Amino acid sequence: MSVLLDRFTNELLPGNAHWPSASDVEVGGAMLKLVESDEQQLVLLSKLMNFLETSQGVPTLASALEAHDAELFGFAKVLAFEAYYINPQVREVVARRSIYANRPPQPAGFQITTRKVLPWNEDEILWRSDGTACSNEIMIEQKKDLKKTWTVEEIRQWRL
Amino acid sequence: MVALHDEVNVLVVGAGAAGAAFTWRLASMGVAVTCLEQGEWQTPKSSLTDLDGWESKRLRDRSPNPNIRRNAADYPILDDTSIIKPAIFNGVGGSTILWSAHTPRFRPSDFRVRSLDGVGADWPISYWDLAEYYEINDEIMGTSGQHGDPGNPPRTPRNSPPVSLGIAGSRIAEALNELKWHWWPSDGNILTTDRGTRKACNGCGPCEMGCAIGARASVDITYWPAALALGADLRTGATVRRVLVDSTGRATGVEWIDQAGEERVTHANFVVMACNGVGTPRILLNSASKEHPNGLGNSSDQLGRNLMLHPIPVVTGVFDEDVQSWSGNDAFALLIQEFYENDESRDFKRGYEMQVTRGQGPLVTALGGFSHDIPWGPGHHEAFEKFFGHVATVAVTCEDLPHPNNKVTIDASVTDRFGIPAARMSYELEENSKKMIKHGIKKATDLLMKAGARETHAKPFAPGAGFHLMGTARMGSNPKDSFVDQACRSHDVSNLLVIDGSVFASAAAVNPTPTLQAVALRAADLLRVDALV
Repeated sequence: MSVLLDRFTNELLPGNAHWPSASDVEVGGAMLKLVESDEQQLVLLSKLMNFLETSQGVPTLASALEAHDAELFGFAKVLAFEAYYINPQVREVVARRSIYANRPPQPAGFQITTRKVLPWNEDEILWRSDGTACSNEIMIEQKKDLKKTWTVEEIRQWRL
Repeated sequence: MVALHDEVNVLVVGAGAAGAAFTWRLASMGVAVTCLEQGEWQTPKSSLTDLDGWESKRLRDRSPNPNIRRNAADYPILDDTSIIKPAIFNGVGGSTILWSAHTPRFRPSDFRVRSLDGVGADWPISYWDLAEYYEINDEIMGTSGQHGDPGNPPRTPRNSPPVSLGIAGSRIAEALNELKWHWWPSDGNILTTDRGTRKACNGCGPCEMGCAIGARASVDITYWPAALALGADLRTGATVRRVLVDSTGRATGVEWIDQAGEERVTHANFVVMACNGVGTPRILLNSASKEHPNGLGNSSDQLGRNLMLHPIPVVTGVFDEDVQSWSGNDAFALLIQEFYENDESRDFKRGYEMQVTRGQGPLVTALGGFSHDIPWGPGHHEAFEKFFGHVATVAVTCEDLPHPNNKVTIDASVTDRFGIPAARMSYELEENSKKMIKHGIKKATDLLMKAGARETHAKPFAPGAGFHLMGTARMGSNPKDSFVDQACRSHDVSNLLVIDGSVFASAAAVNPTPTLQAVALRAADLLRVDALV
């Protein structure tokens, strides 16, 4: 059975000069582990295994499943990708092939590269009056000085 | 079995964004207030973002979809009749545990959509009634941003500078300057400088799994500690089955089940619902009685109707440059409101906002991110390398108009672990939304291409984006077409309040949390005199 699961996952995630295949990093076993405590997903995995067992004569298991049961195929694909991309060896390849640091987001976080860009110099108020006198008055006042520092006390006075 | 009884003054159901704000406000005015929450407290470790397998957790334990996550506190939401799936969290902090903390405000016109543009329903209150409460809320939650946006009414200086634009955000901001489209650094409840025990954002990416360092606010670390210090009573593991009424139809309290499975009854002078746009109608519909045969307080037949979710089309641009799209807070850096207000020259009513999203790790990228598609089989690895780190996504938040057939109902064919009937979401896109989506995708595509994207990929809506749950117990002046009045009190049951997103008469085109918190704070002020005992 694991041979069939290896065959299926290798069709989804074949290896190449840079990337391991699914079976190289034992995706099949990892899939079983991911769903072991999830009754609903265990049922789906069992369905997948049954399909693989009864379809081993077809040239491509993945294509056959996609054509036969798109929903089950979607489940199997997501599960295989999940097992593959959380594998430490694969994460290492991701890091080697990009500038991504191979570690969890916390606790270190990531340095954010950025540029300083300021909004273009708008001098028009872009929100629309709701038709109340309050709205019109605030709009006029705001337009006098868009950079004015308002206080909570001033804002409290707006209550209708 | 005989239920255990007790008696309190104000009883809030739900310890999320609205329930926390309301409880804190009442407690700060000396009012005795108790809150029942069906989930538990989270810890900084709960985010799981420090684990090697963190991305897997995002699909499972920290999935925003309760039907996938299936925690003990989650109740089933049947969603096969909705094209957009629910995204909520049940626990102290509610959905702020798994939110992105993007906090733009409604604009004044959003409260007058019927009067100004002839669609939807007006609120019985205005932006100006909520303005001071937005300010109070921003201060408690801790808000980064930049005051002075000409696209919105004035506000006070923010607690910390805006979040970083990042490489893609910078490119897009420069493109917006060339296009002369409105943009402004987004307000967010994500601190960029240390504040008390909360640390400055370190750009780790997956805000929606929770924040281990407290940079991204959630009400369990903002409102709740303050409310508890003021004497508020919070009881966790408390699943409310129904609201009880007396023979006159007045609310007398709630029936609930504790962690040990014991049936309990808590009597109260006021019952306040804060369980979000699905959870609140679920409990109130489950509270039907001889006096309220269609659900508690539902003589208007509006309870559960007018569900608004914000359809969110997404367009992903692929850049030659590595824009480090795994880093930075995940849902926003800047806010684009060029197409926000109604424009009669367009073929749809009302408008939308756009925001730039990021924060996608390897697994999420491989699964297609927001809107691209990576093939399986030969070519998979080449495609992954093309996308990973090289994408930016513009999410278009479309204003949703209320429709009575978009709704939350109860479905007794499925129940939670205590036998309480499930909620069912029924939701379809209206013609107005479809036209708006088309327009938004075109403009987002233009923007990304202007910013230097080599190619773009679009999806008409994000199917998992059912996180803005609004309208299902709406506020209005007329008891015949609304559920609560301007003070959030039920038209039919004067000591029953609803204070969450359910009361929204319109959805606007922005994230609803600061608005629903402002509504909750105002409702607390209005209840204060009656609730002082």
